[in-house]
Parts: sequence; structure tokens; C-alpha cells
Amino acid sequence: MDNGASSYRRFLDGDRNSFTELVTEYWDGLTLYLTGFTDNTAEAEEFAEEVFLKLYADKPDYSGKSSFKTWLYAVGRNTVLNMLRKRRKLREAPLDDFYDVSDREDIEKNHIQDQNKRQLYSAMEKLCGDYRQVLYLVYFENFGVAETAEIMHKNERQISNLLYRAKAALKKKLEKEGFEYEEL
Amino acid sequence: MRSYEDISKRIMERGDKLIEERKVRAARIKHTSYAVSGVCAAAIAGIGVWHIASDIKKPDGFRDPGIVSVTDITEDTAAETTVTSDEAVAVVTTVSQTVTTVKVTSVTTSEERKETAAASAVSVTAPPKQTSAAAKTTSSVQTTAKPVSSETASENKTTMTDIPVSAASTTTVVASPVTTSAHPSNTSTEEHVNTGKVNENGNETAATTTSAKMHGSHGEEMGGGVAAPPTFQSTFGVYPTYAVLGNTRYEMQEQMSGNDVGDYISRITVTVRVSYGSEFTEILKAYRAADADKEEAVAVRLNDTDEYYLFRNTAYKKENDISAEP
Repeated sequence: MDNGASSYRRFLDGDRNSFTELVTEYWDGLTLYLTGFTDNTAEAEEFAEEVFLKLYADKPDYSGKSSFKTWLYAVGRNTVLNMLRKRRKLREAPLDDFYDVSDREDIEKNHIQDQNKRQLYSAMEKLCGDYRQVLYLVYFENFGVAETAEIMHKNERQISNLLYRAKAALKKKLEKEGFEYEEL
Repeated sequence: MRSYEDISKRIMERGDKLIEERKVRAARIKHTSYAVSGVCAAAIAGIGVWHIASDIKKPDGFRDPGIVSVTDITEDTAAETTVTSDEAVAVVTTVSQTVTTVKVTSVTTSEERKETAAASAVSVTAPPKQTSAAAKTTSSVQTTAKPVSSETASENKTTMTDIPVSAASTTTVVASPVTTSAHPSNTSTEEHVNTGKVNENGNETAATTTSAKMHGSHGEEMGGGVAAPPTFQSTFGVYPTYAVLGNTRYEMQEQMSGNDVGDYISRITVTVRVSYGSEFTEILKAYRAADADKEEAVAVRLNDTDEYYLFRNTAYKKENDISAEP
């Protein structure tokens, strides 16, 4: 059982501090993953907050069939898709609401320690959502193809094809911009 | 940038508020459902009471002093008690015996126990028959009937019927047509016995069996010899009988002598109420009753007979009575 699972168990038993541990451990990664559904970092944070609110209020069962991180990301994906389905038009929010919203650079700096990866993640902005999600899950969160398939609700073959096309698209973008990266 | 503690605290505050709202909503739904279920239960009870109340028949309000009793008897003959005689014997008895009659204004016929004893000096033996009118009664009827001439039997046969009636001791002499026929086992007999109309003179007592039906095991109706559907003639005087002349209503009292009958008045509508909703009506001739005002009483002659019956207006009051009232 990983740390996230044990923290979640303790939270279900009534330990509120365990919930803070979960937020501390998974907030940045989940927010960056949810950025794949929207181009707005503030909205991605809002999605992440809704995901953790769902954990807090609904207390969904975690069966342990997959890792807690995989399960959490799958819950996040489903929650965001439901929110996007319900919310057809975006609310007009005043700028003051975004005063304390995290800067994307900060989130990337906190979560992606490798400088090259940070630059690469920044370069992924222009890719479509599925390409960004699969590249982030596989190369930044180090999920396997099977786990990525479980999170994205696709089969492994679809993930492999998606990953291949995402890499090709990213390479094309980087070459077009004159970016040289040997490991790519 | 917010710290993780701030984010966590904000999420927990929102979560607590959300959980509180859900609790309030659940409590509100619960209370509402309790109230609605209570209203539904009250409505169902009300509808039920209303249905029951509508089923209760309202009394029609008229008094009928001529009623003695009406008893429905249902008998199931068991296999061992098969009636063996295949001949129908009808015995009509006229007994000269003084009978004390108590005027019975209303008789409850819900549950009566009637005992009939018949003794015959001439080889007609009718053992005591006990029947109970409550619901369906199984009783054994054993009849050994020999073909006898009705004249011989009518001299000696005495049939006694004791009907326990509240606050009334009535001795009636019943001469009922006795019908005996052979039927397969598991037969059911429906017999309507009317214990009679007693006249105050006590000279004659007549009782009429209004219907006697026997049903076979397959439900078919079997002939009972003298069984016949009720008619105006057969129910006249047995069931509540009243007459209406103009706006005046007369209740049937008793049979009267032709000597007490006065002049012809007019035709009068006579109604026999067999049951609620079932009645026979016939137009008869009305005559003046001797020593009585037309508004107080009339004599009614039964069609095709010389029998006269006294019908009295029970609501009639003499002028002296009216002036004596405060």
C-alpha cells in the first residue's frame, strides 16, 4: 500500500491531517494533469479543488486494485469531464478572484524538478489535450501504458498509438521552433 | 501562491459546508415525507370510512308493526343424512287453538334459533329440527314421511315454533308446506321460513314458506315441489306492507272481517317491501273501515279474494289528541 492509500485510509477513519497530506502530495501533479483538459491554469486548479472536494465530501471507495495515484487521476478525469459537461459556458470571474491563484511556473517548478522536463512541458502547450495528457502521464508522472490506459479510459493499444502520435507531433513542433533536444 | 495548508483548509471548509447542507436537505426530505405519508394515511382512512359508510343502508324511516320475523335458513345435508323420501308431502294445517299474540313492533332477525317440533299421531314423524340463522348452518334433517292424506293429518298435526324474541313471548302455530325430496348428497337447501302472521283473534294462524330452493352439488337449482318465486300475493302481509292513497300512507295492521268494511273509496297502491330495493306493488281497492275516519284507516281488499285487511295511518291524530298536546 502506497503512502497516498494509507493517508486516504486514515482520512476515512477521521484524521483530517491526512487529507492535508494528500493535498500536499498530489495537488501539483493533479493540477498539471488537469491542465490537459483546459488551457487555463486557474481553471485546472479549480478542477483539482473539485476533485479533492469530492474526496472529502463523498469519500469514494478505494478498492486497491490500482495504485492510489492512478485511482486519484482517474477520479480527477471523470470529475473534470462531468464538470465540463455540466458547465457549457464559462463563468465570468473577476480578476480579483485570481489574485492568489498559483502561477504556472511555480507549479512546474515545484513538481517538475528537471529543468529540461520543465522546458519540454512548456513546449507541450500547443499540442492538443489528449497528446498533452498522455505525454504528461507517461514521461512526467512515470505511469506505465496500462495505468495511463486506466486513467484515460482507453485500452493499451490506443494509448500506444496516442503516445506515438503525440511524440511525433511534439517533435514536429520543436523542430519547427528550432528546439534541439537529444533525448526526444 | 497559496500554501497546501491553505488549499486543504479551504477545501475542508467547503466540504464541511456541503456536508451540512446535505444533512439539512436530508432532514427536510425526511420531515416532508413523514408529513406526506401522514396525510396519505389520513386520506386512505377517510376514503375507507366513506366507502364503509356508503355501504351501510339507511333505515327508510317507516315503522312497521306488522312484522313478526323473517328467518333465512340454509341447510347443508351431509352424505349420511340424505333425505330418503322421494315424495313431496304438503301439509296444511289449521289448528283451532287460542293463541296469545304480542304485538311486535320490530324483531331482530340477525341471529335466531328456532326449534320446531312436530308430532303426529298418524305415522308422520318429524323429529325436532334445529337451525341457526347465523351465516350458513349445517344441520341434519331426517324426515320420514309417509304418504298420508292431508285431511287426516290436518286434524292432529301440531307444529310448535318458539322464537326467542326480545321482550316478547310469542307462541305461533306454524303450518308450513313441508317438501321432501330425494337428492344426491352434498346438497344445500335454502329455505325461507316465515313464522307467520298472527291474528289477534287467535283463530287462525297461517304461515307461508316463501321460497324453498335446493341446490345440487353442481350448483343447479332443483325443484322443491311447492317452491315458487315470491309474488305479491305470497309476500303480502309477510313483509312490511303499506299503502298510499293520495298523500296519506297507511301501514298494514291485520285482517278484518267483511262486516266491518264500509263503502268503496277508490283504488289504492299497496306495496310490499321484501328487502331494500326489492318490492312488489299492486293496485287494490280501498274501502272505508267501520268506525274510523278515512284519514285514520282504510280497509283494503285483496284482488280476487274476499279478504279485507286493515291499513292504518300511524301518523294520524284525532282532533282531541291534537288539542290535548301542550
